[in-house]
Amino acid sequence: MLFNSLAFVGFFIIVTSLFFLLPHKYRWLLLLMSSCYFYMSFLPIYILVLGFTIVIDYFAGIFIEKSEGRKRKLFLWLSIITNVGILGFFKYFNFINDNITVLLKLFNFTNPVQDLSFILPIGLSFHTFQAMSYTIEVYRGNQKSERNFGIYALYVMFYPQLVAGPIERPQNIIHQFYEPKKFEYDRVVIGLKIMLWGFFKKLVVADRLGIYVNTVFSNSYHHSGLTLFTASMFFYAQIYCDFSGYSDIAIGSAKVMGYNLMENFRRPLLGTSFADKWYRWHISLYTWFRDYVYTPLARKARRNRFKLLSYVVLIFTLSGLWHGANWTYILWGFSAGLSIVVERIYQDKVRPHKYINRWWLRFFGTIIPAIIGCIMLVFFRAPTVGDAFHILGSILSFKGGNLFKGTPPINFYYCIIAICMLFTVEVIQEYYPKIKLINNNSVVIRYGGYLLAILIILMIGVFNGGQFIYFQF
Amino acid sequence: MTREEINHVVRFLKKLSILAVLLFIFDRGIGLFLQYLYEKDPPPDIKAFNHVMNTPQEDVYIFGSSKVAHGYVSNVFADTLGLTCFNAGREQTNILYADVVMSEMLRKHSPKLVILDITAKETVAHNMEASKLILANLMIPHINTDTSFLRIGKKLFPKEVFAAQLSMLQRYNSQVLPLLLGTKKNRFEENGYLPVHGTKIEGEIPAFQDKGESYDSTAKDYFEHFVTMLQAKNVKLVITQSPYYVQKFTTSPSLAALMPIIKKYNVEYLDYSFDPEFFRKDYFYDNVHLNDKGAHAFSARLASDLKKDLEKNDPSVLTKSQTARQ
Repeated sequence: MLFNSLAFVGFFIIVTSLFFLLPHKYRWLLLLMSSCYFYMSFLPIYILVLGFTIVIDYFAGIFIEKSEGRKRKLFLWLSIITNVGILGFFKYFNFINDNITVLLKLFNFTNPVQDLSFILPIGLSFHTFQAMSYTIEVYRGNQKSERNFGIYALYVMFYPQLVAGPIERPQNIIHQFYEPKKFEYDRVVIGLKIMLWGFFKKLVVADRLGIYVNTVFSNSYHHSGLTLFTASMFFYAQIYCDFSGYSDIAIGSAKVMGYNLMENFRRPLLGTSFADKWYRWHISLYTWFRDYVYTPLARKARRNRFKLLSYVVLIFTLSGLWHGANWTYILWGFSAGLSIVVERIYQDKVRPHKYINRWWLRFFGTIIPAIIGCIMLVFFRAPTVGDAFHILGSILSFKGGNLFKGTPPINFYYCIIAICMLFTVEVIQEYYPKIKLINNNSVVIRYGGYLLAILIILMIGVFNGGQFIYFQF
Repeated sequence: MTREEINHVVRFLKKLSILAVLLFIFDRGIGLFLQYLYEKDPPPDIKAFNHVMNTPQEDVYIFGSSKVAHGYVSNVFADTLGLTCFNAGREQTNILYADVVMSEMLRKHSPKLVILDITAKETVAHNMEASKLILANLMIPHINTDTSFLRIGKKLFPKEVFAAQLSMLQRYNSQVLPLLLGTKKNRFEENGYLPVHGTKIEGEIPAFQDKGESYDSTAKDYFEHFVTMLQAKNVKLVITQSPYYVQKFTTSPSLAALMPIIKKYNVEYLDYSFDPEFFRKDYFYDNVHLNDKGAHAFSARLASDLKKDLEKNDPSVLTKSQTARQ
């Protein structure tokens, strides 16, 4: 069941209505059952995989809390190995096997192990990371182990964030399941507004841009450097709106019921440096890597600058691998990490800090990383490393030819309109927060804003753009 | 629920109702305005589609993807064969689109000759989806007035039909700009042919790219249906492959899937995909699509080959129909 489907609209209305009609003590059960239904609407059998990790981590949490010394660590590792093992089996087995085959071929050996053929359980990377954050936090003593199995299962399975995040921390969400939630007009309206903006980003911007991007990238060898560069820029906006649109719908639908999920995107297109863009992008994943991988490593590095910087590259490379079992994702992650390291060295050695607040530095700090980021995203979008280098070659060598707009070019014009609308809203939110449309105090302007957003969605939204890109991770 | 909560719910429902009423008014108001523009002067692309679906009259129809829309000059076929001809090719479509449109057309008119251009990616899954999307865009404005469009829509894109029944704006989704701004290219006046000019090809000749493509097995069924439907109506069918400017390939998963059907029904098949006469950079807009110059050269050759063939094997096809649009 996709968020951008009529089935979800019906599901959301029914579940939310029942939620407020039921007494507080039954609400967790309703949410758990509806989350199971939501997950099983994709591929029912994989609920067993999810159920298995839930059982392991539930008991691991209790045993970690009860035990002391080495036993605590043992149970933590049991939980981590189970989660990583399942993730590795479903997501990385074929990738590793294919690479072994290539290596063996170099020495004239054949690989007797065949690739496995199954579909990746939806949102596997998200819920395994969320499950791991629970056992790690229990181990660290930041979270008490959850004794109510239903509540723990709900922590992993809460339907708004089950298949594509935000990857929650137990401290933020578990206690909220125990708190009675009232129907509060203001909060419900805020939640619905967040959802509306999420639908706008997905339907009007992401899926519209997707039409152009897919057309160009599926025939990348035939297009000019300018066209490929334009498609890369569009892809940057597409993936941002696709994923942040999903996050907004998730955050908004949880908010309607009174649950506060963590912020996942903070207008990354307007970040004023590489690092700033990444602080604003997929916040729940990068803070996960920061808290559970980088910080422990950095503590051991003890201010060894080379080590610290190489850990940054490592974290981003891992995050690339998290996105998909392909060298393209690994190279994308590696290049992202490298760009931050280069920027850090540049900032420390070259850039005079007295200019830091100058408008032109902010302007170029926004534009240059955005352009380089778009080019790096070619690795993310291209099907193979060879294709990625070919596309990069075409872009960087300014391969001749006109800008492809499509015949007729009407979709291209919609893309430009969609991007202009996105940037206008984001620039206002970032730099002129006093200007408000759907949050305006004037009822006329506020309702005008609602109507405008819905009418634009109906007029130029793409309603069969398919699933969210991040579902595949 | 407490009394306070019920007050909040009532307040929420009141405001939601106001918004719903306003939305209904604006949806209908703007929708009626777009409907007026659509009926008064539909964009040429839509006009061409409506003609094929509702008032088909020509002797020869050419079906296929953008390779047809840009590569088959209707007037060249008309002049050479002495028949009227319409190019019904459409960008980003495949056999699904051709089959649906042909089925509908045959209910009103039997042409003498149908040319179907197949591509090396004919059965690729995303082309099937694109065909449905394009059919949805073209048919949905008519679902309230045309029962056969409604029937096709309910079968192929039921969600879009449902949404369009709820919202009038949905019926004209993505057509706001063409309706408001109009478009200079008049496809209808060129009998469906959409010329593209010049070339943007540079550098080495690329290899045919189909890595990572997934295929839709139902495309084969649509293809077979297309063939049998025309044979049942005694309509002459010629299947073609128009030229490419990529490194030579002999087959593809799509072609391998369709060839047995062509053989099974003994359909005439003309392959110009790598004909040396057309393997010229100046004939191509890009590596797949002929430009206006290439399209004229190719259409002249195909029309001439067809004429020779028809004069020899099927002379009755070359008799002009009395009802054809002049």
